[in-house]
Amino acid sequence: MWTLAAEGPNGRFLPSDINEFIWGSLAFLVVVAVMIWKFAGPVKAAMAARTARISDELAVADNAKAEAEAHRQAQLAKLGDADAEAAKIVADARTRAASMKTDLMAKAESDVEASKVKARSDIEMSKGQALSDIRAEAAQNAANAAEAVVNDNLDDARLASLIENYIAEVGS
Amino acid sequence: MSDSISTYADAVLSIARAEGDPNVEGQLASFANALSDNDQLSSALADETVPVERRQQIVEDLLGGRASKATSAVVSMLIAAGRTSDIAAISKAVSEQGSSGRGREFAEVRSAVPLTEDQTQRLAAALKKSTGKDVEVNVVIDKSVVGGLVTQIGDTVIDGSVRSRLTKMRDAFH
Repeated sequence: MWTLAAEGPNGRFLPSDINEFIWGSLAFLVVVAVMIWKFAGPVKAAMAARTARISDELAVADNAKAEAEAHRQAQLAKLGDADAEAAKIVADARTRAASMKTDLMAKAESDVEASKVKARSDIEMSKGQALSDIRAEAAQNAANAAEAVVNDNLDDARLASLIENYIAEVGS
Repeated sequence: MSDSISTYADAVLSIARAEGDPNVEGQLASFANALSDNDQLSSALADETVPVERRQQIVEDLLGGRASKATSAVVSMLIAAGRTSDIAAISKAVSEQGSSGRGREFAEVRSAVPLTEDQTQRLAAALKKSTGKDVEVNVVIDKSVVGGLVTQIGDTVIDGSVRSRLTKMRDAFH
C-alpha cells in the first residue's frame, strides 16, 4: 500500500497525497491508542464483571440444577415410599380381610351351633311341657275319678262314721 | 272381721239382751245355715229389685212359729239394711262375741251334713279335752267339706274333712 501510495494516486484506493496518507494513519493510530488508553480498563473490567456474573449465574444454575436433582431424588424416594406404603396398605388390607373372614366364619359357625343348641333346648322344653301337660291331665283325671268314687261311696253311714272318727281323734 | 260386721253383731246382741231372748244367737245361726244351703232363697232375699217389705214378708213366712220375734226382727233388720250376703258373717261374729261374753271359746264347725245334738255335745266335750277350755260349738253346713268336719277355734283349724284329703291326694298326683 505504501509503495502504491508512493507511486501516486490512483483515484480509487490511495489519496493523491502521501502525506495525507501518513498523517491520516498517524491520526488513526493516535485515536486507537487513546481509545485503548481510555476504554481498555473499563472494557476489561466490564468483561471481567460479565465473566464473574456469568460464572455466578452458572453457579446459581448449578445450584438450582443440584437442588432440582435433589428434589427429583426426593420425589423418587417419596414415590418409592408411596409404593412401599401402598404395598403395606394392600398387605394390611389382605391380612385384615383374611382375619375378618376367619372371624366371620367362626361367628357363623358359632351362630349355627347356638341355633342348634337353642333348637334342641326348645324341642326338649316342648317335650317336657307336653309330658308335664299329659301328666297333669292324667293326674287331674285320676283325682277326679278318685273323688267321684269317694263321693259315690259317701252314704249316710260313712258320713256319720267320718264324724265319729273326727270326734274320737280330737278327744284322744 | 270388718268393723261393720262387728257393729251389726253388737246390735244383734243388744236386741237379744233387750228382748231377754237367749235363743237369738242359735236361731240366727240356723237361719244363716239355711241361707247358705239354699242359693235360691239367698238370691231372692239379696235381690234389690224385690221390695224390702216383700223380702221381709218372705222371712216372716219362713221363720213364723220356728223362731222368736226377736230373731225375726233381727233378720228383717239385716235384710232391710242390705246385709243379706253378710248374715253368715254376722251370725258368726254374734256367736263369737256371745261365747266370749259367757267366758267360753267359740268353735265354728263346718260339716257337709247336720250334726245330731249328741254329736255336737260330744264334739264340744272332745274340743274341751283337747284345748282345756269350755267350747261352744256352732255347726255350719258346708257341702264343700264333702265328709268329716273342719273346726276353727280362734286361729287354730282342725281339718278332718274328706275335701282336705282329696286335695292332698290331688297334690300327690301332681
